[in-house]
Amino acid sequence: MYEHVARILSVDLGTGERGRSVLPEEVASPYIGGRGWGARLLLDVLPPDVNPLSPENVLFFLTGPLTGTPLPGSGKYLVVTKSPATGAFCESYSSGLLAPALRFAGYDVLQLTGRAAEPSYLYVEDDYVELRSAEDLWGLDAFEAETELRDRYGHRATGVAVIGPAGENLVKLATIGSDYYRHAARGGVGAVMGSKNLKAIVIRGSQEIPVADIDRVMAIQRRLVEQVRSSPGAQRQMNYGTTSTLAITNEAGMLPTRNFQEGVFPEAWGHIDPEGIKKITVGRAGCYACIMPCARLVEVERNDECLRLEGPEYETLAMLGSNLGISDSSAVVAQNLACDRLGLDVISAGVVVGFAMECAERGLLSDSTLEDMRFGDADAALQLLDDIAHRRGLGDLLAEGVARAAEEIGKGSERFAMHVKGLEFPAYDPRAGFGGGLIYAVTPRGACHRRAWPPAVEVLSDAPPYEVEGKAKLVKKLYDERTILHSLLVCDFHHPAVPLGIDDYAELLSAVTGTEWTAEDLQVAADRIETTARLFNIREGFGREDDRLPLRILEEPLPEGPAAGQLFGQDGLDVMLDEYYEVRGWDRAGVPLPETLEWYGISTDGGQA
Amino acid sequence: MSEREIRKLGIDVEACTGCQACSLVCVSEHHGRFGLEVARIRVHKNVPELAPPRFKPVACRMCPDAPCVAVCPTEALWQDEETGFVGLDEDLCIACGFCEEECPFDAIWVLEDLGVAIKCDLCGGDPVCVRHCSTQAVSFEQGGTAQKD
Repeated sequence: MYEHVARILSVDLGTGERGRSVLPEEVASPYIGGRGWGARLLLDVLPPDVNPLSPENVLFFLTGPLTGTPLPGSGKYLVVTKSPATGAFCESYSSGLLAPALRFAGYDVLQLTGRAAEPSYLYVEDDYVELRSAEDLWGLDAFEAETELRDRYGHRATGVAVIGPAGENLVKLATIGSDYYRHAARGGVGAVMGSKNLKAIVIRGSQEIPVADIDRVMAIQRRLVEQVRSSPGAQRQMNYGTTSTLAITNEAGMLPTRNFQEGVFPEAWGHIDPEGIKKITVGRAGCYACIMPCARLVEVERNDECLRLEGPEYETLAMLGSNLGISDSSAVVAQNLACDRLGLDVISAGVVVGFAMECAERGLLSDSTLEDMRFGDADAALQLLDDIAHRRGLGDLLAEGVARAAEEIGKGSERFAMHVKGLEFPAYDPRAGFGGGLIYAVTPRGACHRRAWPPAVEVLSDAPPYEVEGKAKLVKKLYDERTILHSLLVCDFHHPAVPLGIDDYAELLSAVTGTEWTAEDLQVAADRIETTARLFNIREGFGREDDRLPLRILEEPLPEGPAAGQLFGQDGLDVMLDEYYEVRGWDRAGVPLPETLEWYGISTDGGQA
Repeated sequence: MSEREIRKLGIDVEACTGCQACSLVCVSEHHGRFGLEVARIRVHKNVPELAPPRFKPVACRMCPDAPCVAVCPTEALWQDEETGFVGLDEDLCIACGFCEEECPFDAIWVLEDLGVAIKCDLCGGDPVCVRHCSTQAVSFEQGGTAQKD
């Protein structure tokens, strides 16, 4: 008999105390898994007003009911914590063997608190849990540390998550890396791990992953493999992956260029666009058991050195390419590798380096060694990345994130510090698709492109990109679909590409749980989950005044491209926020209404009402 | 159903993406659960270097005059003269590990817990890994005058 519960392994890294607990079915099932469990658990487990880098903060590694099965995109895990970059709800997704390994070991959630007395790593093998010394790993980059641990504990079935120097140095752009090229990157989750003196997590196991009907799961997977083989969308995704997005955004005039001063980057064509990356592609890679493997393997020569990388993804091409005025694919690959090894978020890194370049060009930097830095200077960018991870010179300030850096530099630089709530902008300029502005403003973790992807309707379909009225409803639909996928927890690429509908995912969940789920059931859960995540931020002091955008977006029109001259401004944002809060059942201040909490059965004092 | 010749798994290292779906469904087929450790087809990944061959699925190659069969002291391992198929009788296996040492491809493994060796058995003629590989990096190579039902 399948039980839809979350089996939690909790470890206090300070005392060494471990515990096993279960989030019971009446809470676990209405929140599905992954993102839902993360929202519920952070609200319930973390006391209010905790310093994110203190031992009291809690770091969750979460899976979902589909994780580790052969169902599409089930090789993902989620890190949830209170973000040191924002002080808000933080959710950061990644892929890698850590996801199935946690379940092979018999757990769905790993919950870490406390601070180890010395550099350590956590070793979990089924029931065996031990904190081991990482004295010899501390200071190694993420690749070196992972290789050392894999040589000790296995390459094929062992889950490994590591931080690089950035995490050790509490950089607010620090990632948690796994399988070398995969990162839980956003919100500074690597710094939280570093603050706990935790260099790595190693997990292996031999337990059964609970499924109600393994034959039904296998039959569905087999059918989907056939579907992928004959799906043009899936084949395109396998050939180009996320690189194809750069052609879409560059055409639409929403490609961040030179710190969002422009939205088109003509130099990208043939170099860092899909065709440019195709020229350096030598193979493909896939996440765990993926039926639509979409990562590329590239090879470039740079300074007489052969660089090989799994990537680059679209966000990297834009944020470390066009956003820095760089069109040389080998320079982007070099920066991507540097970030992977240092454990730096390529998105936030692209924003802080772009911000520094603009400050230098405007003569706002007091550091004389950097005042000649200009957009397009890849060597300077590479040096800055290293300085950020090691907190040297200006890098020490940039390591605090762009919001803090602008505060310190002042002189009007706040206007072009591209962030929301302290989380740096991803690679879509909201002035070229107004729905993007709403999403950046309201996602709990700050400026985020993962909770919904408005270009799907504003660029690739017929929703008017430069209107604000009615946008909230469209965005909410996209958002809720993603919430469902991120709670199951699966990759969100199969849904649009194969395509697979939400009713298909309801079937997958039904096969796994033995309880018949419908798309409507999942929709109700999505609403419940988003309001619960909002409750956490409200409790931590966030409100409507924090759902705001940088002045550059509100007041400076894009100079060129299809979106030239388009602005929604604060008035437009207010219209979208009013509509959005209303469709969510929140009041005009963005606080969930009592009747909304009651309707979705959301308790505010721990556990499900 | 008439007889058909059994051959071996064909591997296309260029098509392999390292996703390990083959291993996962192999464990599901043979052990009735999801896992990777006890797979009979295993993917070697050359990471983070990524020099070719980057991802390499490894399973029994059904060698002519198979060396594992030659060293097996209990005749648990046997080879079909006509098809070249190398089979393993688990009841006879004593988990001595000679086969594992002798295999030139690292494609037969002893499971200490269960006290047996494991290797690819081609799922009785319809390999599950072939059916579930989305990039068709694993194929079923059948020679001769194969007949299906």
